[in-house]
Amino acid sequence: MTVAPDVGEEVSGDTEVSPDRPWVTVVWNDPVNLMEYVTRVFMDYFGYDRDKATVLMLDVHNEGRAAVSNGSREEMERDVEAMHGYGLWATLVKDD
Amino acid sequence: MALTGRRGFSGGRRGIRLRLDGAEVQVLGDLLDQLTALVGSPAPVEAPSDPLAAMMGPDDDERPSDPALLRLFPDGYLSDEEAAGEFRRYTQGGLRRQRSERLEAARAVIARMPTAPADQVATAEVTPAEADALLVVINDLRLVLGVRLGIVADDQDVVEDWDDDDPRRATFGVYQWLTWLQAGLLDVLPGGGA
Repeated sequence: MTVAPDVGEEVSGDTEVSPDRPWVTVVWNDPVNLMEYVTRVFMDYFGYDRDKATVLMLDVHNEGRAAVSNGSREEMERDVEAMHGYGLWATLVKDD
Repeated sequence: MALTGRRGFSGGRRGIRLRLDGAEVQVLGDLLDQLTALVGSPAPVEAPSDPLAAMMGPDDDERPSDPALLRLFPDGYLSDEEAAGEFRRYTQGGLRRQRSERLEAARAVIARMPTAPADQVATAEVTPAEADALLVVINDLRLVLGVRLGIVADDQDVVEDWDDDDPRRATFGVYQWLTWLQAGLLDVLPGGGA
């Protein structure tokens, strides 16, 4: 978290990226947000089941970040905005 | 005399309940006031003569210079300043309004907790919508205090470097209390409990 993010690197996470859905929402690790809180946000907002939400939360926690959704640029801007509303640190990036 | 039963959030068939002693009600009320001041009210529409401008609402596109506020309204793009500015222009006003509405809901709960002596427990029944609002508001409070306290890494022992009389120790106590409060709420929210 203290290290400057390296956007060039491939982002972990189990979200598949296909050519027509080239943007991803990346959630970054944060020392304040509780693990259960992050899991719940992923369940509530994305509709993921607890298992998938927990895997993504652990990816964020252990890897420093995880791709949590993918889609068009507009869709990802909506997701990032929603994450900011919950207080999660999220950005969107085009996955080349 | 003073009830010293369990405090914090509890849940049951009849819904979620918040119990705090008078001192805690006071602290939480003050924190909500401070966060309200920090977030600021959504910019008022200044009766613009241009009807299109009136429809779009007031500009809210300034990147916060206060790091705590920037934590609540972060950049949406990491390495594209122009896209980040554009993203902020379209989202910041709405996010500020969201935060302001959640704070209002949280303050309504506190307002239902009668002023009690510091050691006496007050109780409020919390609606599902209020519980959702409180969850995020308490998180926002922790994010802001986390920035103020310099909490930047997992497993960081911030207190270690502070003198015994460092005023941040009291703030850290409040931060830990909020963590306890939020964890308790997560436990009783429907669908929770890992």
